[in-house]
Amino acid sequence: MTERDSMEPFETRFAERVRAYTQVATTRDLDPLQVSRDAMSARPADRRSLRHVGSGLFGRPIVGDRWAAVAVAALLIGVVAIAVQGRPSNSRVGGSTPGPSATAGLTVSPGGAIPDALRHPWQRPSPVAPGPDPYGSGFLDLTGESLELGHVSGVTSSRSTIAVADPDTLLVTATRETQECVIGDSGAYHWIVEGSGTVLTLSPISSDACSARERALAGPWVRSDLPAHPVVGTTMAPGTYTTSAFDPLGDPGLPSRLRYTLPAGWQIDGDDPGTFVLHHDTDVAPGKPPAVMPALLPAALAGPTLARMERRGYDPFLPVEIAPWRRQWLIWRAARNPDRIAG
Amino acid sequence: MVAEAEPGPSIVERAVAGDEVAFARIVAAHHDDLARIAFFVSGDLDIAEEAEQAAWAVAYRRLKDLRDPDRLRAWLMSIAANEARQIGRSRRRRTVRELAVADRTPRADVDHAAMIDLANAVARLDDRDRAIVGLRFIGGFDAAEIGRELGMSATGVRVRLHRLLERLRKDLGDD
Repeated sequence: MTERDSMEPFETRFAERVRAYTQVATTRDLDPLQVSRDAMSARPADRRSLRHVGSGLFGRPIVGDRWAAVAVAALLIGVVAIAVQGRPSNSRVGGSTPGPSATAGLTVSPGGAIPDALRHPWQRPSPVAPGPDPYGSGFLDLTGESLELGHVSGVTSSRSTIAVADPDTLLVTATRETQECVIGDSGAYHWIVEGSGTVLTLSPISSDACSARERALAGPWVRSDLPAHPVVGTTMAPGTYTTSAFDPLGDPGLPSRLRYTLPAGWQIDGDDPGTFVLHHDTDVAPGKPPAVMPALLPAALAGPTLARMERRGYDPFLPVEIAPWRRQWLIWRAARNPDRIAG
Repeated sequence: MVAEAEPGPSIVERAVAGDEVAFARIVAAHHDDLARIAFFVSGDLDIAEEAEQAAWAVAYRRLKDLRDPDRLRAWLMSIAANEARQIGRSRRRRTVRELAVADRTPRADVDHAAMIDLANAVARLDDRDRAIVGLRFIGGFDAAEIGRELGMSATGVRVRLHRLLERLRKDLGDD
């Protein structure tokens, strides 16, 4: 028995616990081809520093004179800038270029950028007439360079790069292996956008190498990023949501959002950068109309603000600031029990 | 279809030659290992993700220097551990941490108390020791292999591992 597989009972148990502990890190969705392309396009200058790798885990930086490196970089940038300015205006400077192995079964488009009309999230149309739904549910995210397709976002979805072959033709090349698809499978689709840009119809021009993608992609799609009705004041369906404006840290340099999970019967009363208010349908105090409650909630801050002003050292020329999380907590408690508004 | 590991010389050579599909297959085959070791060393999912991304860029750049393709897995994991250590250090210098609220549903089949104990015990180790333990128990490498990647002697790794395991056994109350 070698050292590699000889473990004491504790080590065996520990190894199992480590695997369970690190399991969460493996659930991230990864696009190997995209990672590969990113790695190949990353230059050493993009890195935080140049380091030894493989010659020791804790190697020292190999760049000794940083100022010299900066001077060389500035010189190179200057040379490139002069070269760019000297080129004809219609030359493609800085555009995406095919990767070093673009010939390895992958097709590269010569046709230019993906039209803006296509760069939206799309979903299958809901049937408006009784009868079987010919397309079912699904989502399609089109960006300037890629396409993601599936039933639930991020879960076993199909990813491909897209490129323009002709003005009305897209070349689609798989970058993720899924059922019936391998990396590099490509197909060409004719596209047309109608209905003021809200309906996209895709038709395969020839048989897609990935038949599952052809079945999922062909047909009509409608834009899913059109403005929705405001959610404030409506009872939310149970589920997980993300705030749209509330910034719990209140730091413009570190914008953040709050993700929250609601059971049934909750409403949003306010979602702005300073406050986020939820209340349950049963929370509204008897005798007070629910519609006016959100307007009264900020009054819950009055008591603590006045208390601050009574502290020793209070400067009347400076505003009294209550910490964002405390403010949120006070308003949330007031929303839960309106009697707390008056302190 | 699931990408299969092809750690043989051919795929490494193809990747070195600039075949992005070959490198993508290496990525697919070793993603889990790199994600695990980066998370184990950093204790933070965001840092682990960033470290893995950085590790692939470093790995591609240095792949031509990998003389023994059989070492590929250990080599990649040591790069990820190194990246996680460095990113973790730079993050610790910041005063503001990102909030994670109700990010995922707890799994019923996981002993969360045990996981918290383990996370705390691992967090008390220093970066280098976490890399040693991670390479041993995630990668399954022996002392010689770990030492080769970390620039230590096999004996040094063996002694260090023995002491670390004693400490972890005590911290985890597993006597």
